[in-house]
Amino acid sequence: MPAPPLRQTELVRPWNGWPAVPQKTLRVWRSADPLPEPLTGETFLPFGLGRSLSDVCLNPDGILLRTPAMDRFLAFDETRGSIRCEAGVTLRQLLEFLTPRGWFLPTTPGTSQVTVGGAIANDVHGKDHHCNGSFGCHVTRLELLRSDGRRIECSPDAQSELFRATIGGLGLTGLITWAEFRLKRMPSPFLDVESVRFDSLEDWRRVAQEDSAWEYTVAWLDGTRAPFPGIHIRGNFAASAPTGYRMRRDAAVTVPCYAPGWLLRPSFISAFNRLKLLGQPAMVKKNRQDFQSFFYPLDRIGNWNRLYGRRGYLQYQFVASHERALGLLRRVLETAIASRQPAYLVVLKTLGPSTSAGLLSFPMPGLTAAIDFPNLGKPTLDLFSRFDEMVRTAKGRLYPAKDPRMSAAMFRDGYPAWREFSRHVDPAFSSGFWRRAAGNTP
Amino acid sequence: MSKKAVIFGATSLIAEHTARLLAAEGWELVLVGRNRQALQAVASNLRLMGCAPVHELLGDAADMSALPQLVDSAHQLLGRFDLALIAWGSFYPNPDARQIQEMERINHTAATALAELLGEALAQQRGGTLAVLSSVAGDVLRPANFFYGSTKAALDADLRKLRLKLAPRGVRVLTIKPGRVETPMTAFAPRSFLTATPAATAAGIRRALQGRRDVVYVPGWLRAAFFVLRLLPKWLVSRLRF
Repeated sequence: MPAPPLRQTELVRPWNGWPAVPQKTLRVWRSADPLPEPLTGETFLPFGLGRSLSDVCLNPDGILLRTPAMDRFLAFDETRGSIRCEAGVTLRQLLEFLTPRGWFLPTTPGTSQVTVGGAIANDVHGKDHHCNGSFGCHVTRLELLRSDGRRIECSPDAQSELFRATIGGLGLTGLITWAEFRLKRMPSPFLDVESVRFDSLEDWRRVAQEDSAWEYTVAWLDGTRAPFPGIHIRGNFAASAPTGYRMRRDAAVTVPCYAPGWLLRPSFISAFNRLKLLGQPAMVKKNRQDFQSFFYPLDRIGNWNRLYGRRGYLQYQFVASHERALGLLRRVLETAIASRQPAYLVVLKTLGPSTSAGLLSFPMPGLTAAIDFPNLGKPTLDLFSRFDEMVRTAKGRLYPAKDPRMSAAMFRDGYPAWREFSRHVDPAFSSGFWRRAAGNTP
Repeated sequence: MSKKAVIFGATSLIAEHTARLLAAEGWELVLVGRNRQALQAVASNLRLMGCAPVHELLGDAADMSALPQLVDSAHQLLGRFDLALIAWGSFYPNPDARQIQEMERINHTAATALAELLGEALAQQRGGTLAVLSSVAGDVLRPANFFYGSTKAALDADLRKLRLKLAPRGVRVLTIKPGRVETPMTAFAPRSFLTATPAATAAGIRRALQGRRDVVYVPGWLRAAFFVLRLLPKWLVSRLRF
């Protein structure tokens, strides 16, 4: 008999750096392995690369299940464009495999440093949501390993209820061992990109109306001063371009340690934003970018989250309907400025009509804004509570994967299907987020 | 013509990641392992990733009498070996008598016997590399892994002997010494920031294959660290906690 695995305690932080939790971890090495034996009262939570910005990836007082070796490809259908792989495979691994063969991810978030299991559990979306929906829209099959030892193959047709709960299910319905999903043809590794300056949120709406011909769109804006000018970026894969593209290494430079608190001062950010806008004097700029620069600019800098210092940062991401979202965003940013905690980074994205099967899936038709703040502790949390009221009034909702402090009321208002979802939660699985947002009520 | 390698203990994570690097370069591989299902999983992933053939060969390190047959079968599949890699190991933290025996057999006796056979096969084709996964544990025996360390120390000594014997016949014998790697073998032991990933270790092995050294530490700074450890007085070594 091999020695019993050690329940080692490590300090684990989500990508935003807060909260840091001493966390016991266990490994599940192979997708064919059983789950470890839980001790009495112990709960599990799968943990991929920990890129979420909230405690959806933490399980204080419980166990994190890590799967560093579940990283194999199982099947690839080159003609139909479909791949089956273990849940620990990263999007980076997939890109290295797929792009030389002329295929691309069905949709992709802004980093390739996430696992397939994590992409499904958070039903991630990307710059193409208005065309292609979220990641969960493209999953055709997956296998769940439940704590009672059962392996359940779920798809939109078989075990569909469990399938719907698992897409965006925050890892709570069991361990995803493998998944199969559709791919997208990639005509070239390059994209034709157009950047359009806008002077205000109204101006952005005008610019974004011409988006219909563009598959990938996103807007960045300066949240430190009204009326919030910014740059709208849109791209399409180039029809054809020279092949033989070799992917660059990720994390070519790495932030070696936590930046001191004074480095990212509001005045610096404001100056940086102005410089960024000055960097594009023309109203419209066109260029050609490789897909790595376009989709994953931050993957080139290892541990960039350390720039926010030891206390990390908090992101506030909401979605609201087209009619209400811009007004809501303006109120949120103005409130932040008035309370002397201006937003450091604001990203705005149109979400399309196609919603995934996921019961707890975040995207809904409308606009989503993701707003970064350095974590100042209580002042930031108080500010977020004021945002919460505005989002509730606007009938919007928050993204669990980005929110380590969302209240139970916010969660239940935003996700009325949570009660149906909770019936599918594996009794031996839980998370910090889940216990806060839905836990101790019937 | 593509290069060819046989890998024993191919379902270990370090071996699997090394195989991925070789497959990506177009090497033809024979993977030897004792668990059919695990072997298939490793091989089919490699087949999807690469274009050169990947063969599976079922065999158990514990069965010493089967080793010549295994080497023969692998040789028939490939025709020649550019590289033969032995990458199996066994580790118990506080072993009882039976576990000590198992570590001794797998880490030392069987590995040495297989190395002899492979060395002879390489010598007959007048060249090639025999690479064996040992461990830094054999350099300085420490309380945390006394018995494991002594089996690896014995393996190191046998490989030195084999190197002297085979060098005139054009065979390179490469001893690879990783530190702690995050694998099922060390799942009971605490990890620290010094614990390496299998992928990084495999990359170190791949570089070592191209280099000229006979004994390679992965990562390289372990060479200096264990040089210093060897100089420590024994009252200090016997108190080491790692």
